[in-house]
Amino acid sequence: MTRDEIKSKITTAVLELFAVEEEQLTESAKLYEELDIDSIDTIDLLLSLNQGIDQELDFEPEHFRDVETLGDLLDVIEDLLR
Amino acid sequence: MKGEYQTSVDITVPFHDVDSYRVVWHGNYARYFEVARCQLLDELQANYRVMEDLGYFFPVVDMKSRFVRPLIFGQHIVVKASLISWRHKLKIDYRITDRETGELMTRGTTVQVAISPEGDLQFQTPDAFRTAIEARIKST
Repeated sequence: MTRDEIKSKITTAVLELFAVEEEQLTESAKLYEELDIDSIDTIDLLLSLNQGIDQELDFEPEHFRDVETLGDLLDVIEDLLR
Repeated sequence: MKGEYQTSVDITVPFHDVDSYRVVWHGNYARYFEVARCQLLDELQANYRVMEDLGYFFPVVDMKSRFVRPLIFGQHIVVKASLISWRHKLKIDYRITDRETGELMTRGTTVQVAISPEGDLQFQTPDAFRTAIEARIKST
């Protein structure tokens, strides 16, 4: 899956789950400060993402310690899918 | 109320739970939910002690309540707790009904997540926790 495809899956999941506008979903957008997506929300986001990509990715806390932006999240998912 | 496992507790509303409007103060409903939740988790053999022995805390991170009808002092109520999900988050739904009439008084939901002693949010509940719950559900 390409980075653009992953980004599209994340965008779909975020738009379904949270009250944000698509134009806010840039790679530099900060999940907590700008998108109001907190750590609890990320569980729902990752579950939705698993359904979107039709895979059961094994998310561990250490994968997300340094995730601040949508781009960081994209990096993690891309790594997990390799 | 749908759920993989359900239990219920009987409570008689005590005098100290009502406010100056003579109805149960809204903050006290969390305690009624908790009584039912603890019994549910005891029956599932996955209570707070078990969770802590596994090395995890399970704080409530989200709670919703709908106060359909007010509860009053001395009212006999049934608090039903129903397990909705447990693999990633522990989600429990609640219904409070009047014991005599069966009338729905309150609906609610709580969500708990697993946190390691280091404070890390877990994206799945611990394996042993899931296994215990699923074994219990299968045996009922």
